[in-house]
Amino acid sequence: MEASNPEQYPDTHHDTYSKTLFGFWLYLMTDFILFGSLFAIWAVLRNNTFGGPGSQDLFSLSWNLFQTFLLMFASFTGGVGGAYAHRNEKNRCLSWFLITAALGIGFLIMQTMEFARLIEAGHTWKGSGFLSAFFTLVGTFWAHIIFAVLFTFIIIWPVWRGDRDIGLRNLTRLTCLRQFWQFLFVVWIFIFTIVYLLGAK
Amino acid sequence: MLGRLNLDALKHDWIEYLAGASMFFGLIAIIALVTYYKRWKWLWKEWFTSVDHKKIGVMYLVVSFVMLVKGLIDAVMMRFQQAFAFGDSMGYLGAEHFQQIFTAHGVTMIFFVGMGVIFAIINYVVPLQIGARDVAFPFLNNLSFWLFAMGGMMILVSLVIGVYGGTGWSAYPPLAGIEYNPGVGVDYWVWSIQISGIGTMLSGINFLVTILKMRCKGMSLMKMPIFTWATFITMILIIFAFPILTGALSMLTTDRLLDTKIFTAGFGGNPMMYINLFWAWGHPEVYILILPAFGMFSEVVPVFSRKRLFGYASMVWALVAIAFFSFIVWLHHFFTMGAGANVNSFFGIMTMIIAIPTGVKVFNWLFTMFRGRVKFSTPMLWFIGFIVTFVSGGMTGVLMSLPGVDFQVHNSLFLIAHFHSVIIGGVVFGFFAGFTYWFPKIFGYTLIEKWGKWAFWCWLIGYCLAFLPLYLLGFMGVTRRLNHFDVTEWQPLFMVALLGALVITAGVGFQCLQIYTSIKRRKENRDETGDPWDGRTLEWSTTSPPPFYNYAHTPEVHAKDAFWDFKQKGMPIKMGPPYYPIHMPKNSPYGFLIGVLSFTMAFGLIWWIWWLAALSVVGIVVCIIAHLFVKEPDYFVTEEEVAKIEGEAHGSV
Amino acid sequence: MIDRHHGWNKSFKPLFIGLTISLILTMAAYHIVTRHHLPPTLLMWTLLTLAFGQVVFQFIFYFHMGLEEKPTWGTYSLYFVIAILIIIIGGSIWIMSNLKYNTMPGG
Repeated sequence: MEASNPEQYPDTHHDTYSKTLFGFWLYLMTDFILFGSLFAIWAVLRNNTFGGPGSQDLFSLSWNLFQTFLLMFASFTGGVGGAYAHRNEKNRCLSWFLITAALGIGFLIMQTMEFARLIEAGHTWKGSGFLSAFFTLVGTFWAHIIFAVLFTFIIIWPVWRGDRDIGLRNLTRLTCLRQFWQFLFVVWIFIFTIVYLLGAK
Repeated sequence: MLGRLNLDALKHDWIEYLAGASMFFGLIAIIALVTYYKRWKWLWKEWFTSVDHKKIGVMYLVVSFVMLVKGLIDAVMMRFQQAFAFGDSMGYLGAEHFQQIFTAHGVTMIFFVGMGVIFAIINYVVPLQIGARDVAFPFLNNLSFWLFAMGGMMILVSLVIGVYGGTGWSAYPPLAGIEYNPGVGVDYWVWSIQISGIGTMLSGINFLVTILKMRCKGMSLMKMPIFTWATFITMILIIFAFPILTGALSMLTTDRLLDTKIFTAGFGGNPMMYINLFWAWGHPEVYILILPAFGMFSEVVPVFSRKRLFGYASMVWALVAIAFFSFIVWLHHFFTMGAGANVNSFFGIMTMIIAIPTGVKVFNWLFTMFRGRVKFSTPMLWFIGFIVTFVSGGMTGVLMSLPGVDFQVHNSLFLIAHFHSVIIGGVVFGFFAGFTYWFPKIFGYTLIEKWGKWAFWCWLIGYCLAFLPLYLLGFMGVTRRLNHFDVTEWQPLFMVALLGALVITAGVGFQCLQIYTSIKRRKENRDETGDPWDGRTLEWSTTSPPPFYNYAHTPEVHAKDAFWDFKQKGMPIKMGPPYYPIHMPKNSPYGFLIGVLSFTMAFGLIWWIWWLAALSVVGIVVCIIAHLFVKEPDYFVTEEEVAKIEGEAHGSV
Repeated sequence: MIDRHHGWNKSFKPLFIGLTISLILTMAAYHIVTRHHLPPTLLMWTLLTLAFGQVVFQFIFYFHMGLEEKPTWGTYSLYFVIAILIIIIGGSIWIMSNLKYNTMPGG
C-alpha cells in the first residue's frame, strides 16, 4: 500500500463544496416529502368544508398568479445571483440576491394579505378540515419563504463584509441559497396548480 | 408568566414520586462525583463539545443505556400489574398511570434505545470501516446527538413535572387530540419525538453523504463492508420516511395548539389520515431499526466462522429490496380500519413478499457458518439467539399479513409478542453482538466472556418466558394495553411472563456485572494489536482505540474485506513516516446549546409559556448564525504530533 | 474539485430559457382555468401535466439535472423522491377513499 500522495494532503476528502451541496440537496429531498405529506392531507380533506365555503368561493386567481410571477422571478434572480457568485463578481451577486429577497418579501406580503382577508371574513383554520388543510399547507410554505428571506440576509452579510474574493465557503452557501429559492418555486408550482387552479373549479 | 405550569404539575402518586426522586438523586450523585473529581472542564472539552464521531458514538451508548433501564423498569411494572390484576384485585397501578407507562415504554424503547444503540455503533464504526477520518458534517453529528439526548430528557422530565401521554406510543387522534387529551401528556410525547426526529433526519443526511463521498481510495460500493451497506440503506429509509412523521406530528400539534381540524372527529377532520401517515413512516421505521442489526450480524458471523460472508451481492440486493418494499406495506398496521378487500390484499401480499429477501439474508448467514470453523463466543451466541427468536417472530408476522388472520389478532397480545420477538431477537440481540464485538476497539480491552454468556442465557430464556405465553394469550383473545382482567384462567400465563421479565432483568444485571468486572480487569484483557478477533474489515487495522484522526494515512483498498485482503497478501497496514498534517474539525459548543434551547422551546410550547418558547427560538437562530460565522472551524494536526501519536501507539508492536 | 456542470453554473442562458418556459406554461394553465371549461378529470390531468412539465424544465435548466459528475447521486435521489411521493400520495388517496367499504356511511 502506497503512502498517501503528498499532493493530496492534507486530506483526500476535502471536497467540502461537493459534500455540502449534496447534503443540502438531500435536505431538499426531505422537504419535498414533508410537503408531500401536506399535499396528501390536502387531497383527502379538500372537500371537507363542513358546510362552510370551499376553494371555489375563496380564492382570487389573479392574486395568486401575481404571486406565482414573484416567485418565478425570485427563482430566476436567485439563479443569476448564483451565476455571478461562480464568476466571483461579488457586488453583482449581492445585488441579485437582494432583489431575490425583495421579491420574496413581496410574496410574503401578498400571502399574508390573503390569509388576513380570509381570517377577517371569519374563515380561519378552525373552521373545517378543508380550511385547516389549506392554512397548514400554504402556511408551511409561507414559513419556508420567511426562512428563505432570513437565510438570504444571513448568508450575504459575511459576503458583503468580507474580501473581494468570495471564497469557497461563501460560494458553497450562496449556491445552497440559490437552490433553496429554486426549490421553493418548484413547490409553489404544485401549490398554485393543485390548491388554487384546481380548487377554483 | 408560567403558562399552565403550576404546583399541581408536581403532584404524583407514590410510585412516580419514588421514580422521580431516584432520578433526581441519581443526577445529584453524578454532579457530585464530577465536581469531586474536578472533571467539568474535561467533560465539556473532551465530550460534550466533541465533533469526533467516536466520542459521539460513546455518548449515544451512555444515553441509550440510561433509557434502557427506564424502559425496562416500565416493562417490569407492567408485568407486575398484569400478573396480579385479576377479578377483584385492581393491581397496584391506577389506570392513568398504567397508560403512561405503556406509552413511555414504547417511545423509550423504540426511539431512545433502539435508535440510540444503532446510532452509537454506526457513529463509531462506519467512518473507520470506509477508511475516513470523520463523517461528512461533524458539527451536525454533535447536534444530532444533543437533539436525541434532549428528546430523551423530555420523557424523564415528564415523570416529575406533569404527566406523559397516555395514548399508546402511536398516539392516535381523536384520543390524542385536544378534545380528549387537553393536558400536557400528549404534548410531551409530540416534542420528545419531534426533537429527536430532527436529530435522526440530520444523521440520515450526514451518514449518507459520508458513505457516498468519503470512502477511501479503491473502495467501490461493492467492496464496502456489509455493515456499511446496511447503514447506507438505513439512511435512505430515514431520509425518505422521517419527514412523513414530522408532517403528521406537526399537524397533530396544530390541532392541539391552534385548534386546526385535520385529525378531529368533527368539523370535516379525518383521524384515519393520521393513522395512515403515521404508519407510512412507521413501517420504514421498523426496518430502520432492524437493518443495522442485520449489518452487525453480517460482520460478526464471518469473523466468528472464520469464513467469508456467503453471497455478498445477494446480501446487498436483499437490503435494497427490503428498503423498497418497506415503503409499500404500511397498511398492514391497520387492516381492520375499514379498507376493502382489494386494498387489504395488495398490502397483505406485499408484506408477504418482504419476508423473502429477509429469508435470503438468514440463509446466507447460515451458509457462512456451514463448513466454517465456528467459535461460539458471546457474539455468536447472540446470533444463534437471533436466529431462534427473530425467525419465529418474523413468521408470526407473515401469519398476520393475511388480513383474515389479522382481523382476529390485531391489537391482541399476539401482535405484542410478534414485534417484541423481532425487536428483541433482531435489534437488541444484534446490538449486543455488535457491542461485544466492537467493545475492544472502542475501549481498548475485551469484555469478560463468562458474564456475557450468563447474560445471554438469561435474555434468551427470559425472552421465551416473557413472550411465548403472550402468543397463546393473543390467540385466546386477550387485547393489548389492559390493566385488569376478569378471566382468571389467564393468570398463570401472565405469571410466567412476569418471571420472564425478571429473568431478563437478571440478564441486564449480568451485563452490568460484565462491564464492571471487565473495567476492573482491563489491564489483563488489553487489546494490544488492535485486532483481537482476526477481523476482516478496516477498523481492525487501527489501534484500540484508534487515534482521534483514525488513520495517519488513509488506506487504499483492492478487495472486499479489505483488511483480510491486506493480511493475506502480507501487506503492511501501519505505514510509517513520512507523515503529513491532518486537517481536523474543531469542537463546537453550539450543538449542545441548540439542544438545550430546543428543550426549553418544547417545554415552553408544552406548558404554554410563550415567552420561553419565543426566546428559545431566537436563541436557536442566534446559535445557528454564530456557528455559521465561526472564523476557523478547522485546524491542522502537525506532522510532529502525528508522528508522536503513531510512535507511541505502535511502540509495542 | 467543484462540479462545474459543464459551465452552466456560471451561465445565464439556461436561466432565461427556464424562465421563458415557466412563463409560457404558467400562462397556459391560467388561461385554461379562467377562459375554458373542461370536464373535471380532464382539467385535473391537463393542469397536472403542465405543472409536472414545468417542474421537469425547472430541474433541467435551474438545477442542472443530468450534468452532475458520475455517479449521479443527485439524480438518483430525485427519482427516488418522486417514486416515494407517488407511493405515499397516491397510496394515501387510494387507501382513504377505500375506507368507506367497512366504515359507517358518511365516513
